[in-house]
Amino acid sequence: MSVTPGTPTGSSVALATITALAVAGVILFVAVLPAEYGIDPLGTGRALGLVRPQPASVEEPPAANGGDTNIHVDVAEIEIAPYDYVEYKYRLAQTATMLYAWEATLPVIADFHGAPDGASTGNEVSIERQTKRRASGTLTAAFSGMHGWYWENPGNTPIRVKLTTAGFYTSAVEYRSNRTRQVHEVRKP
Amino acid sequence: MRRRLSILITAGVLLALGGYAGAHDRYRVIGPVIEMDQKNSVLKVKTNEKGYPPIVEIDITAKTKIERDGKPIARAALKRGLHVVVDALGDDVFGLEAVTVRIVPAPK
Repeated sequence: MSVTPGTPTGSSVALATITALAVAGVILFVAVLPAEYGIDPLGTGRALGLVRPQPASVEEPPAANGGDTNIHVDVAEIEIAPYDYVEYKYRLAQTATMLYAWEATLPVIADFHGAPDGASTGNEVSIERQTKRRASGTLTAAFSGMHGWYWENPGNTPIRVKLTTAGFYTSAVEYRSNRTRQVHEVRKP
Repeated sequence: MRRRLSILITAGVLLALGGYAGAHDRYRVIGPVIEMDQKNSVLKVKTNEKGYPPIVEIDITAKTKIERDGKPIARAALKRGLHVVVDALGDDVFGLEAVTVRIVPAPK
């Protein structure tokens, strides 16, 4: 086989291809990956000023309003007949907060609890349960659902409970022992 | 294979029935005893509670706890005129089964 002068031989084409691939690889790792994707395995991107400094990752604190922008207030006066009980709860999204204060005319069995959305009866998460006349504080909802109080009158005289709240809740519901439920209107401050 | 399938189907039916049976609502009935029918194990309690009939009939079972001042007492102690607080389970107020019956002082 004769070779015409100036015509590349097979071995020279192969050598040129390998050299081109090697150069392309070097350019890829030295410049393209650092500049385009922030991947800098050789440190050349930083040295050549191709890598932009990444902003420190800042984790967003949970929103106090649980995604709801409307704060509401509610004042309720609840009568509890002798030996009877009542539940009064607010719908809060996860991380939403609520300020509360309540006072009863006599000690009541109080259970401050929450029921996750979709939970069946008996799967409430109790926060505090004791016999007392008053309580106040703040609640940050650990989960989306109904959060509030079970008050039981342990004695033979009627008791009144006055509850005042403000928070990022969307509704208030009163549950009675006779299985009735009454939705209370909550208002904007 | 057929035997395994029938066991699986039976287990499924039993689980479904068990879930249904356990899905009762809780009720509280408060008032004076009108009658304790010892023969049929039915306690009749008068109540003024909205949504309840004037007299609520509640089944008393072997599992029902009957107590006064926190101490267990015999079913025979349930007499007409005593004031009771009954916590019961049922699908509605016409089919209640007592879990606990507490004898308490009458309301003032």
